[in-house]
Amino acid sequence: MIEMLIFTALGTCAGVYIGAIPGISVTMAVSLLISLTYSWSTTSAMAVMIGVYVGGVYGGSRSAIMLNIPGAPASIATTFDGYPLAKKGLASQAIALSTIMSVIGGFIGILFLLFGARAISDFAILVGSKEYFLVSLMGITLVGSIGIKSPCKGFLMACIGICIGCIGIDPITSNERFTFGDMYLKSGINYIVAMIGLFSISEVLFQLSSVKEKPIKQNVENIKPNFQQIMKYLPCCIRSSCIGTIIGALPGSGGEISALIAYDVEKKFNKNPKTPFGEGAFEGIVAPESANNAAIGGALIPALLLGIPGDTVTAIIIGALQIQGIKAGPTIMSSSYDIFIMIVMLLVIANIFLLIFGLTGIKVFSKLVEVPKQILFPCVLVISIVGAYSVNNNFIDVVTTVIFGIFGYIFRKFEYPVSPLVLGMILSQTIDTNFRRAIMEYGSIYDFLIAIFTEPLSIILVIIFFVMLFMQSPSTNKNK
Amino acid sequence: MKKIHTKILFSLMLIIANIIMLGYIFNTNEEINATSPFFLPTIIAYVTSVLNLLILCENLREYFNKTKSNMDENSKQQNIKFDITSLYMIIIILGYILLMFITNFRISTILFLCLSMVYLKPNLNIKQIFIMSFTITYWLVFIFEYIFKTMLP
Repeated sequence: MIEMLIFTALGTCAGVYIGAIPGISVTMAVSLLISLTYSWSTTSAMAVMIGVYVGGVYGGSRSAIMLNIPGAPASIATTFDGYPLAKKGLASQAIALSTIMSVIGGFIGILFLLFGARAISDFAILVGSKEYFLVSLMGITLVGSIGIKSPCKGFLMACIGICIGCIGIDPITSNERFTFGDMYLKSGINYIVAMIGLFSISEVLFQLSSVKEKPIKQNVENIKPNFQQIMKYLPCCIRSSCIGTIIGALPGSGGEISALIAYDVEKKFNKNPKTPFGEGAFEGIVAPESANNAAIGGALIPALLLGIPGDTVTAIIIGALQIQGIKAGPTIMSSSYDIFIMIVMLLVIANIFLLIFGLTGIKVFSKLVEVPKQILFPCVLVISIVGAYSVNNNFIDVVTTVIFGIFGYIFRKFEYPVSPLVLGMILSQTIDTNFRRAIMEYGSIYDFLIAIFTEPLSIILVIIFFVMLFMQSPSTNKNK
Repeated sequence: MKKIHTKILFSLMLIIANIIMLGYIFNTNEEINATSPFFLPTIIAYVTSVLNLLILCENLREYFNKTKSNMDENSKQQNIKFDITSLYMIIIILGYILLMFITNFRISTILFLCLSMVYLKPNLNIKQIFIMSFTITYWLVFIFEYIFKTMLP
């Protein structure tokens, strides 16, 4: 038991700081651990992996809030309101609130895993190619809600992102697309490399015009939210956590889509926040942060019960279980029920440690924003470049990240948002493969469209899609 | 050049890029159907054409809606400017990558940090800048090479 507590604590603490470094993904950290845990007991191996997973998903929010640079793709939505809060000197309060809401979100995800696993996995197995395609399209409709003045520009950037995501070998036919015979382009452009350039390098270049400005003094008094504040944001947290768990349970979706959808839903649901969304609304950090941590519980549902990974980290966890001789799948509840309960317990412990590690050191961490920009910016650039290199240990990734950084800077200057581009890149493969697979399944586009408008689950998703699209239209936004 | 002119020019550039992309797709001699790898890119290329035209229309409407005097006043305040500091920094970054390719991570990073800090002028003297650059570089080497087992270039 003590061994389990120590390993979970170490994993969570490491995860918080690993997650905060752009380019060092939780997937990378967990995959590094797998080689170390061969000779360990199942409990110790799982304890450290679950700890890194929980801490890492949360850790991305720290750099997102303080530097406008998401440490992980799941924290993209946190930048929209997190950074404006830091600019108001409220970085500490934002981090403290995001910690508490991440923990609550994590616990809601665990409850779903414990009590709703069977029902959710039955639902997840029903979801076919066309439903995945519709869910991905819903993701694209989010561009209107992520602090964009012109929806046309947002959709254009998302389309550019989809095209960039199509670069490489086509997963269905294995033919090359937009590779121009180049070896590097054949493996496609990694969206994490692009994200580092678009968020981190372009942000530094964009802010260089104000390099001489004095850093914003951070308010480090009363950083921990009181009971009333927690209760105020609790409904938002519960809503977002439910969304996070369900989206996270769809194989391949992960925390990034959950966080963006939760942010969008909260924006539609909460029409009168104290501060408008995009200008430093606390709801804007509560929604994505609770959703991405709740998605952990969600992602583990198909991973443990069906043997289908919800995201890349759960895929590695399935592998780690196999190394220990445990097979994830429908039989886990009967043959290895103790392992299932152990994972649930580890998640609970990791979330408790997350609360401890998340709430300590905030004052020191938030002082990072007060470092003079003349010193901070070169350091951020170096960390971004090293982060991009470490994704694949490839020097060309560094060049790619800088190219994306320069393009991101130019696009931002012309008021074209960069976040939809990353969103498009993330969703590109899901849209492409599921759209084409669904058409091939039904024989023709006509039959595919008929199926979409006749099958119950698809009809529900189509209705949700059109409602979301309507909510993004300029006239609807104007009325709000 | 005024802000609105630059914006129109930029949207025209995007339209040209869009035409090049469509041209590339049609030159692949692939039959465009669900099995074709260019099925989604073709659809997206058409959608981006429409969006680019809409953005151009938005910009033109903005151009024609404003009276000349208003536009002059507005453009004085908000003209799109590429900050010279950013342009120099891009050159420094490109030099850093080139140096990293020629030499190694340690030397190039120390030089990059020193050069960029000297250029951005923090309230530090040369000695302090060098010590800081050295410390940051070796801290990163420690984190990435010894903890994450990433061999830096």
